[in-house]
Amino acid sequence: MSPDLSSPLTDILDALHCRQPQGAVPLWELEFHLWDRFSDQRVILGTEFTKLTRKEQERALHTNAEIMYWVSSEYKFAALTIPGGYWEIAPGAPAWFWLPPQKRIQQAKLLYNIAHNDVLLMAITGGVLAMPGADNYLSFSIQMLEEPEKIASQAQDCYSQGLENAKRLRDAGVEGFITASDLADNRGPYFNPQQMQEFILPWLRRWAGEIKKLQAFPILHSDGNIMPCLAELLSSGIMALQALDPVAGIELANVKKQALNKVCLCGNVDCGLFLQGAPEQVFEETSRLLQLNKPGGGFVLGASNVIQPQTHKENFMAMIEAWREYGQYGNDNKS
Amino acid sequence: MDEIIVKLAICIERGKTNKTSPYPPDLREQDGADELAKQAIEAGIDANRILGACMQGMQSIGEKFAKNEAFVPELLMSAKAMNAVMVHLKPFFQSGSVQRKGKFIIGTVAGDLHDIGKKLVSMVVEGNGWEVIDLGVDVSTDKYLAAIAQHPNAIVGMSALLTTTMVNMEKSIQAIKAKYPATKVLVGGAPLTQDFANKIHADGYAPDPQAAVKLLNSYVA
Repeated sequence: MSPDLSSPLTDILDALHCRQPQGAVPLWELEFHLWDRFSDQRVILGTEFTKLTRKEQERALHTNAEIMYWVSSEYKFAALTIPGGYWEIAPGAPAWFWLPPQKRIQQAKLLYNIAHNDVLLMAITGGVLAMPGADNYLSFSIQMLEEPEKIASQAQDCYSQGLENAKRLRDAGVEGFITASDLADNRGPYFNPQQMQEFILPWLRRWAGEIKKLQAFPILHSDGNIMPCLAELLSSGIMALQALDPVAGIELANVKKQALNKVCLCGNVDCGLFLQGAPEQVFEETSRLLQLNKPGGGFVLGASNVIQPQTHKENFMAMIEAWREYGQYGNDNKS
Repeated sequence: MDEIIVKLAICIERGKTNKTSPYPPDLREQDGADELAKQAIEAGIDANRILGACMQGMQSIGEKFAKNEAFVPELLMSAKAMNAVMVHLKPFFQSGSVQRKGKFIIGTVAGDLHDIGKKLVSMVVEGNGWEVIDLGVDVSTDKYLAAIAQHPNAIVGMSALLTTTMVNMEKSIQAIKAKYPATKVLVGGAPLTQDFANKIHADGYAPDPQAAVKLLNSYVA
């Protein structure tokens, strides 16, 4: 990789360091669930993967890597998030985009072998506590007030586990680590300022520092309106902030004013628009975002959350089209 | 007598459920909503006054929540304290000596298994004097219609957490409006907006539990 030749990979490295890339605004999705539709091949993950024989699993991991790399190259993705660890999209309903722990590492290695010159590998590993999910929302909330020492212990466990995951995946070639720690809903932060200071921010700072020691990028993902705690998040040592949910009222350009030269911003084309909007709307919104946030760099284009399996292909393509037109740094007329 | 009522309202607002609860720290070892409600009933205080004190406490925390001076866990603690009082008031509701403001049927729409938001809204609405009929998650249109048939004057609430399932609200609202045109339908959930609520012809959009309470109260004012 020659440093004076721009590529999606060099562009994202620049963006993550809050520099203006030479080529284009990098493209990256927290999770991209349209591999099949963009390749006309089948990526096998989740429960379907676990039902395969050992030999079939080996084959599937190779095929998955080839498909993901091919789509990434074809559409100029600068980074690629490897399939995640097990999680449920609702209680009892496992997500599609996951692999068992050892297979996940193997998948990362295979991807690294074929893609590391062209695409930055990312992984969601955890590290920082998030607001609770549906299964323990009430109990967590009450425990945080009645038995805060137990939540403090959970925060420590979350950090240790997340860091351990990151170390393993770093050895497999992953360079960007995401703690998917939802801290807010649309209204505002779930944690009050004191709880943020007690359970979140010290661990986020520590986690970000440790990830950097691994020569990797610490990235925070959070849904919701994080504006009330934005300053603390931006000064925590993270190198990128992803999601910046427009449905929660977040305007990326406003965040950029505070984040300039400190933290790279990743997002934030509304996921709802991808699902329910028309391609023209996606094109228009993407163009607007690019024109506002491209100057100066420190900006990675993608959805405001994940690209879900139900996303219309033509809507995702509308984002790509807008990026081709407005996302290039060489074209001054479109900046 | 009034002292108990004042203390009860404070316990609800501060989320002090009972004496054994260590929260809030400054009320540790003191009687909570549970003990105070019991004492109030034993002292012969009208159950309506007890309920009124609770609603006052819930209103106070709700207002703080709306102004971002209180957060979800604190609101939930208040709702928990309120529920402790409701146990004592149950016989009065059953006998009809205490009336609720109305009935609120709530469910997470078809295809969606999330119930965080729905549960939170249910607790706060109940704490504000409404009877809540919780239909659970993945609620079909038929299930909403059956519940309305059973509770004809109820207001309906629909929740969705996913952008992929919120679209199912429209179908359910159309069916409800076709069969029960007078029934009010409120919608809420993380991916929703006022524009979306307007588009699917919902009567109201509640971005948070307190907004749901305000809307509900406006319908019975």
